[in-house]
Amino acid sequence: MNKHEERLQFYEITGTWLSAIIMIIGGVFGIFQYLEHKNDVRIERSMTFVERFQDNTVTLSARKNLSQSIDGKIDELNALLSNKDLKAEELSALFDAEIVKLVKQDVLTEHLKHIFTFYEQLVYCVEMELCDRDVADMFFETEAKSLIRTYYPYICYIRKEWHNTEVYASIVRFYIGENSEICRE
Amino acid sequence: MKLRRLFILLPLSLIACNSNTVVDDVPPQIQSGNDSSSSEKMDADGVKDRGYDPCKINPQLEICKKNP
Repeated sequence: MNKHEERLQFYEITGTWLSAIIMIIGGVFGIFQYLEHKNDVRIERSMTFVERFQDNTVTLSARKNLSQSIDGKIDELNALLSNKDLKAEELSALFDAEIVKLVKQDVLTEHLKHIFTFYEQLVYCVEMELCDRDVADMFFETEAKSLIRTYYPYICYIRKEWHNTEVYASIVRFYIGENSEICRE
Repeated sequence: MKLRRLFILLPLSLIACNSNTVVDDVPPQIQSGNDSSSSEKMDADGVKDRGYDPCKINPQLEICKKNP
């Protein structure tokens, strides 16, 4: 083997190793980019929920109606909640009754159904890992939690009416925790 | 040798293609790290449903004990 052949062999071996290393790096880089892209798509999907929440006229109208209804009743509700003479059970019973009365009186059923369904879809999207949980939490967790904590008596009311304990179970489980224990017997 | 060049050029071109497809379409709210636009807009719309939470007033309410 002369010097030229030796050099050729060296180049061949080096070339083979180099291409193998580049292939591996390219593969890892490709996987990384794929995961990043997947995450970006998740964020984008979550942002479409934010847009719907802010711009959809039906959603906006439902939110406005709920907001106005609570505003009109806020003094009574606060007085009830601040009543230190009531035991926890009595307080919950009275609060439940007040909220169900408010929903019926202000005809909030359709608005609540719309908003609960919106959150239900968001929860499914997050649970199926189609939406980004951090984005969903950042934009919706506070609203969803306070809305469910305010209107859970209505959820319990329709569960009783429909004989179905699974009504809005996904949002209760996601934002409150245990689904089965929110309604009093 | 042509085959060797192909082995080197193929992954290189793959990398080049990959780097061109870097997704830069992250929504502006996330890019800027500013989520206050949502609450501002809600206030502008007259909808302030971020706030009312009975548990903030009385944590003794049964629902509040489930997830404080």
